[in-house]
Amino acid sequence: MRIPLLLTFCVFLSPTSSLAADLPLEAGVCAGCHGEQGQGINNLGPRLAGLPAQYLERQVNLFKGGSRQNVTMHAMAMGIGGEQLQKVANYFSAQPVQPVAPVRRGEQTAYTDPAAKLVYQGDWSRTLPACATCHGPATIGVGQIPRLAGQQADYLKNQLVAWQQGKRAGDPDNTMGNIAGKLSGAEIDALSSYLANLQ
Amino acid sequence: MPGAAPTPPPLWAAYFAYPAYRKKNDKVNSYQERLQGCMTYSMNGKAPPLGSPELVAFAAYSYWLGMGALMDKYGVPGPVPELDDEELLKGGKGDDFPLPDAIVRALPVDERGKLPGRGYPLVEKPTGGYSPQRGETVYRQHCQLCHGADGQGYASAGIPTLPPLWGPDSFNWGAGMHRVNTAAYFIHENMPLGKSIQLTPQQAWDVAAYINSRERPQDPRFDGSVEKLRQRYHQHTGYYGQSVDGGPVLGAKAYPNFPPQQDSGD
Repeated sequence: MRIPLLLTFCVFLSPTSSLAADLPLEAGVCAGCHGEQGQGINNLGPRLAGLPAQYLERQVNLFKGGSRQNVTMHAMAMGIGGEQLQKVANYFSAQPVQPVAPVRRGEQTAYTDPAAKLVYQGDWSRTLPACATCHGPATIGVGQIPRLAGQQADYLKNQLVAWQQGKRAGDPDNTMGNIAGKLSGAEIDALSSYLANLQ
Repeated sequence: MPGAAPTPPPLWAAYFAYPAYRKKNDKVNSYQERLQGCMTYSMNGKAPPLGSPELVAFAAYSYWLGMGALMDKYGVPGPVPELDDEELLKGGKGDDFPLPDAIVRALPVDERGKLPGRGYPLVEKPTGGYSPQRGETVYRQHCQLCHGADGQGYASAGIPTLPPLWGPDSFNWGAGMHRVNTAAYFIHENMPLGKSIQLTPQQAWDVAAYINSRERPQDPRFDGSVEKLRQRYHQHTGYYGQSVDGGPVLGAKAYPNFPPQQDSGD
């Protein structure tokens, strides 16, 4: 019963909350769980603000097709597409995120925190690229590759676990499925919390 | 440790492969000269001068990585022995290079240039050849997410993040990577980063041809004639001095060397 309740809650919340002036009508239903500025609401929905618009659009389509699995998001995704979806994705993508001081490669070469080492250097003995290589300096995102810095720890952990278990797919060449598969449970915990605290 | 992975040719394997003759400049190169080559050609930049603290630091790091690994392998105890700067900059392949006896016995000079990771594993050229046109399909599918639809890579917060593969900010026409075979070996072994998939040899050669059949910064050895340079230094599997699909001769409109340092936006 938990999931239908959650769904009701999301749908119910949006019309009653005070909507931001520029929140498109179509995004109202998203705001219930993700916040009006897409800032994310703990235990309900991850932050969408500042993520690449094409990335957001693609994720909605992956929920539709079942490559990403979440009962609430599947139902939500089935109700939107085309220009409406583009409008919503553009809106959340344009919302501000807290700036994080970018880190340049080589500023630090030795790490005592194993999570930080994975983020900035990876582990080439396991052919594990550093998170920052593709997700950008301090993982603030690059091109169509999403920002990780400041994302909810629970969400990051759930995604890495979903990739490990084959319950999330659809990323190009299974890049993240491959990477998550090489991480231990303890590493996933440590990485999720490290990245969430990069803010 | 950065520079330590065995497949994107490691610094430590190179350290024990120099001094050595290079066709690139037709002379015996010390390790510090080889390092300058990385910056002059592959980085399309300006190398620090011979004997500079930067080259000493690169050489020290390479030596420390390689020597540490060899001492572990051959059971030599104790810290990595210190070398003076002059010795350090020559590289580890010299006859008189100071090495513990156990390592000299196991690795005579001729063997030192063949440490694992030296050069790229060869990927045989496909019998049907290679094609930039087919390579474009490979590029769109497997490369452009990181390197961009226009091959110019990406910067984030003004910091160059994902590298360009052609155009003004890429490696120049003198870099080893502009050769189709070298790029194919590198790509086959190392790309896409993390190796979530393995490209076939055909895909690697095709995409290497696609990337390398586009204009990039000039070969720093250029002295006014693309054709002369092609004859002297480009008798290999590259496109310098050639026209691809009726396009302009590559190298004729090459971008400048040593561009001023600037952070480009997205």
